[in-house]
Amino acid sequence: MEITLEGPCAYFEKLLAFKTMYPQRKDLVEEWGDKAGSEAEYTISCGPFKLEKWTHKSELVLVKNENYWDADKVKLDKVTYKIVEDPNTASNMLSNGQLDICAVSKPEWLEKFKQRDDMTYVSEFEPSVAYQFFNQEVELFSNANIRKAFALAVDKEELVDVLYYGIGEPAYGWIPPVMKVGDKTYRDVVEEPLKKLQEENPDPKELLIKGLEELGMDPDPSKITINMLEGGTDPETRRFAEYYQQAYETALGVNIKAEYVDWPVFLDRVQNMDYELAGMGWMGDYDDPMTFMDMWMTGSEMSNTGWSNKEYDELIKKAQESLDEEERLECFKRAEEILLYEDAVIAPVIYRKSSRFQYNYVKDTMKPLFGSGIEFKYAYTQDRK
Amino acid sequence: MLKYILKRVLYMVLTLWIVITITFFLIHAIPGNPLASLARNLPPQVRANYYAKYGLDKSVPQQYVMFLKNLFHGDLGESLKFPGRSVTDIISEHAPISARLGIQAILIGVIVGIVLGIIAGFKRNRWPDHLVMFVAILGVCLPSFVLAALLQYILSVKIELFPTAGWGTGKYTVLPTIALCFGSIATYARYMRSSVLDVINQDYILTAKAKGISNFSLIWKHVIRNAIIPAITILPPQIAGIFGGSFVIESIFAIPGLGSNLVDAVNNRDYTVIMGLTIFYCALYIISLLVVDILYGVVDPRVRVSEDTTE
Repeated sequence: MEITLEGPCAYFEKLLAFKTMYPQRKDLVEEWGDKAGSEAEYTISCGPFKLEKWTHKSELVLVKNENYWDADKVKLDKVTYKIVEDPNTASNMLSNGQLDICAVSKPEWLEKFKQRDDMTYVSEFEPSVAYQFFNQEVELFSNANIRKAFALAVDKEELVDVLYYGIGEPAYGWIPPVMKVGDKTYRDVVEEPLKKLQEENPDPKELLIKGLEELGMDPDPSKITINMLEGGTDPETRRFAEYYQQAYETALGVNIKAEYVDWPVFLDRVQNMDYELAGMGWMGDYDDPMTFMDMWMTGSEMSNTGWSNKEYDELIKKAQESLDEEERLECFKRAEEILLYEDAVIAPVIYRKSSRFQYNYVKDTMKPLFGSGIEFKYAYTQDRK
Repeated sequence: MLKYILKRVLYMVLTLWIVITITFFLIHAIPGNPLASLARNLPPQVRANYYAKYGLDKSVPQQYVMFLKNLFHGDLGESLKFPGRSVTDIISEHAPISARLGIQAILIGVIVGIVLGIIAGFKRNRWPDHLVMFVAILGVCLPSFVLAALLQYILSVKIELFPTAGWGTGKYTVLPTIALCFGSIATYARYMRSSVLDVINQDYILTAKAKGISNFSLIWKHVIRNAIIPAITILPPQIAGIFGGSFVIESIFAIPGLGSNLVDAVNNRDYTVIMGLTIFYCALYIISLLVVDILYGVVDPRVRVSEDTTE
């Protein structure tokens, strides 16, 4: 196989690990059409395991793929994924050994499992950031100082503890700590822009009042009511929204009204700029800051804020085409500074982490940053009772 | 009788059509669209093609006509959220699971409930009556999901008798069946008790007793047949519920039934799945109503349709 690129691309090899680049069997995809990947019989694999059985909403059974190029290294014969929607049920199943590995994020279960010495807790960074964003077509948010005030209003350390039960790290930058430029970890060499912003502006309310004066609006924050759009109607979304609501109201003295809509409606409204303030998460696709940065270029339509910045566009374009990793790093550094420090287009809140427990007899599982969950290629069990 | 059934079937089709129409327009009236998250990042032309593929570029009345046409050919369409999976597949894969659980629960619920109700009725104001009524009040008051969580914790986590959740062999069905049938046991017991009390004070029971009939025949031939009518009335919604499954119970026990499919479909605005499942439920409900009406006639000769009244 040969791939011809239209131009230079420093991160091309990393791009290859992205899901949309996975190999396909042309003849079978054409034969199956839309059915491809919808049932076990319409799914093929070139990985260490293949899908043998798929009972929708119940379980997926993977068996060792004898045709895999590195099949000698694969130790497990079978891996079963159980689909369990209720987190309490899943935790119950882990607790009495019906599951070997299970994601856990409820505080009462975290406590309980952490005390058991036959289990290991694994929590790793994901290439993912949760953030708040502002519609700049709304008069209030057309002012950078006001956006900065909102970006600084939330105490991220406390938020990680209260909302995420400690699973995650407070985010003062947009690129999460695990992303690399070439071989260099970006966050190791570039300081988080919001830290500088916070040091210079200890009181976000002052920023807000300054912004209001710049706009020629009444400088009394208590006269402002902002509609915060939430993409969910479940209790968990409400818990999050109420926290933000209180945080903004306490720090800035403004009034926040939360509006809860279903996820498809949320996306529709963000796309059509029919919101004032909203929050969501972004998960990177491949191991290069580009997957976080190109979405804010003019016309990308990934997350509509109404923001457009020529210098930012040029920097990202340069980083796309350059093969010099030092130069690319500098581009990203400057672009992130514009995005967060100068223009406060978005307000990153936390770098997300995964959280799971597994029994000690489970060995050598891996969780690749960009893949489909846990990798079982080298995994095995030892001394299981 | 045949004429009566035929007439009922015609009404059924009419009802179904009305329900389909109302659901169709209501579903399209709520904001949000099923392709929003899938087609979000596509270039405009690709997105347009994508919408056109599912007919979503047309006006709602046009879509309605298209939908009815396909329905007439027995085609319920394909899920918008999971391309390649047809609605008929979803029903045929998940409905039997809900059905198995539901039939088990309803059989146990009806039989145990009726027997308990008869016992309570005959032993009125004595300890069996008090015990049954205590259980019945518990059954009516205790939500099934509380019972489910309790059963799961005691019989699976503490004493490892049954699997916690999942679907497979018969033992997987034990806990959800108990959780599901407890409420109907309670309801049937209460219905049965009060109608048994009505019936045993009737003159014909006294006559039968005077004739020296055995206790078994008395209950079987005279009491049950007369007392069961109110209990039959509450059967159709339960039969429809069989296939619908209980969303909460299915979620707690991770059972791949139909209930969670419907809830997901509504959350995702998966129009075709919502429509397909609505039609399925509605048809089931209407058919079970008809079956129950026929059952009345079997149980109670007084409600049989005579030839001259249908004329």
